[in-house]
Amino acid sequence: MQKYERLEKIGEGTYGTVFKAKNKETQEIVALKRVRLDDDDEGVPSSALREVCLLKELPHKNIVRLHDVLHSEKKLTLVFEHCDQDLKKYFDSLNGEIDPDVVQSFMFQLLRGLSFCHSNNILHRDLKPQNLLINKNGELKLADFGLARAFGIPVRCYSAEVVTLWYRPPDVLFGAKLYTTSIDMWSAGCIFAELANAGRPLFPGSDVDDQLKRIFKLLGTPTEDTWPNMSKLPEYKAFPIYHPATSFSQVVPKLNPKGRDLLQKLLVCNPQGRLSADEAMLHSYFQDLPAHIGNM
Amino acid sequence: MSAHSLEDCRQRHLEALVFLRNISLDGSHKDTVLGHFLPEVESTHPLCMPRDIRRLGMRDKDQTISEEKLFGKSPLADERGRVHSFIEPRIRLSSLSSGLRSRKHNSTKNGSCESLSTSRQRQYSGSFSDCSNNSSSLELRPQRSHHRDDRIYVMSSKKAPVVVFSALPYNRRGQSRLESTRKNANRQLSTISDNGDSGDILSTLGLRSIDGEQELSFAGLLQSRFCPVCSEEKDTQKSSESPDFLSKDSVPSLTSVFCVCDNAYDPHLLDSPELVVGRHSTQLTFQSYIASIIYYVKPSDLKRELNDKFREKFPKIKLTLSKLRSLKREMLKIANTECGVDLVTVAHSYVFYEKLVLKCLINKPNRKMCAGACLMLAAKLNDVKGQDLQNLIEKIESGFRLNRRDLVDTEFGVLVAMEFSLHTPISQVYPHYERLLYES
Repeated sequence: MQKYERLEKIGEGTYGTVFKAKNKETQEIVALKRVRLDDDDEGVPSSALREVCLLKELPHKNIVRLHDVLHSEKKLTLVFEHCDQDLKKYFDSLNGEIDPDVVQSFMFQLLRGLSFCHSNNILHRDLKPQNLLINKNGELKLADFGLARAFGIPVRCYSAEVVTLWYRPPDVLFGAKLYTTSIDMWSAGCIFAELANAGRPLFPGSDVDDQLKRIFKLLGTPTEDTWPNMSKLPEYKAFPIYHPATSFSQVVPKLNPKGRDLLQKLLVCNPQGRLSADEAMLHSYFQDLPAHIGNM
Repeated sequence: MSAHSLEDCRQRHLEALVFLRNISLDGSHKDTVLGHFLPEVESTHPLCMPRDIRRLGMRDKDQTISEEKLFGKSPLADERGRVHSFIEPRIRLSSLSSGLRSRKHNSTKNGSCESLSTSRQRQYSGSFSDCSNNSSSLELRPQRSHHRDDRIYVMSSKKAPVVVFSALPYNRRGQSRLESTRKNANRQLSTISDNGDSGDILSTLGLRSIDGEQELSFAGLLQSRFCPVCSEEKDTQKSSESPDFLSKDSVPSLTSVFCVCDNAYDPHLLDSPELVVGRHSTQLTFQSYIASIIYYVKPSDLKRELNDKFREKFPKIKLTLSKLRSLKREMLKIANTECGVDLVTVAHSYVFYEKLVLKCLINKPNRKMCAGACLMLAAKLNDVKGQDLQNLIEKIESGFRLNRRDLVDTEFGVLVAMEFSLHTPISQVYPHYERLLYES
């Protein structure tokens, strides 16, 4: 590792270790993800493969940049732009208070990054605060594309084992093998609520059943009327009919009514009813978005 | 009609029928041994056709074509040798997949015996009235599944075949002709290197590090995809990835293929649907439809001709068209038939492979290794994981006779050769997927 001077360990990714490092020539700080390559194994791990191939196609200010790929006999090193922290760590530093403008700005940037992925036919499939990186100057970037994939030709062969449980939409919880951009929009909704509550997760379920129960308790159990063909999903099981007891003003008390409206339009059980990233960006909640964020 | 001429007639029916049944779909004709059946004529009525052949009886009195007109006064009955000239030029089914074809082979082989033996057991009058009850004069069922491997017989009221034809969907691929090359595909050991070409794709690219510990940087491949040669093209294509882009008859020259512009890839360029029947077809354009007459040609001649045409078009590619097609079939077999991997994934691997071919990186020693690597990459990007992926890799190893170390090594080589651009526009994958769907 001649080109980069390793500084400190940042954490463990889905595969391999992540280090903070410095480019010796440019003094630029970068993040290195190291992936071991075993000859008798499966070759390049699919998560690394996805990151390299998909991030190459996604040069965008709200998506983490892949600078370099280093290859040697035994390992593959991915060199990313370095961000100061992830959203999870940021939440931890907040002590339960968050500026509503920050919520709006982060949410907008999340949607903008997502919109760019979707317009390039890429699904992220693992949106969560740990995978959103934050810079000191308030920039938010989508990271960890290890589970991302291209979409387009509708075949029922997508993996249902995607998205961290708390951010997984009900259709995927029911085992849906055909989904589209709506999978990320649900996660975005969950993150929006978490942002508004300064880091309190919206649906911290313990297993698939508990997750679905928490969702249905807040939104009401969907029926064949509100969600046609729901019962035909591979792992569908009937749930008790819950009627929403808590209103969104109790769930996200600090979010203004427009924000609550946007949240409600993202958290729709029927995937077809969820707002798209482009539609969400046009929502009136962002009407008073400072111009510098819109053009950032 | 006297008893004698009636029997004469029946015999002619039989001759004609047996002849027609013995034309296999590749156009070859096994000479009919009529002697074998002739003693049976008394008890046999040649009404029974092989199950999957539809009869088009012209029953209407006015429409009835007199048998005498068709056969009686023709020299057909007198000279058996003339039967050939009556039917030729034969209408050849050009574009049946190998599976369909072998099935048809069986049915034509068995068909004649089977139907004759069953009809032998039938009552003469029974089988006759069976058909005369069928009063429809012309019956054409347009289902795709039916007429794609069926021959349609038009017969006179007395069941003498008048016309035999097949309806072919236009876009079918003619891989059946190249089937024989498939057998050879397995014989080749992938590591044989009898020419200067190296099988190691990284070395070919000049990217093999001297000692294994050294790290190679691929930052250059991650930079923007801007390419000075085709930047204008790319801008327009990027903004409109419409079917329009597909139908555009732009044939990128090899120089432009060589540059980074993957967007110029045309899924029909290499494995062209045009290169199926060669020059042995005549297209007739009518007001409301187009008809093609495909003449019979020896499969080996056709193969040579198509390969020559292909070489002429792509002089730098060290792979014949028939080899490319046989490799693609092998990829399909390994992934889809043996491992149950879906066709979109196979279509992806085709795109990767063809792009490598267009970059002139495929040679004899590495062609199987790269095919295997393309399958692996496509599978990983399409959610094939865990045991399914292990299984696929094992099947690739055995199917292409590779060892895993080489395969894994090649995988990274292919990734670099593709400049990490494995995210493929739908417009490039879909045509392959469509063909695969159609052929399966």
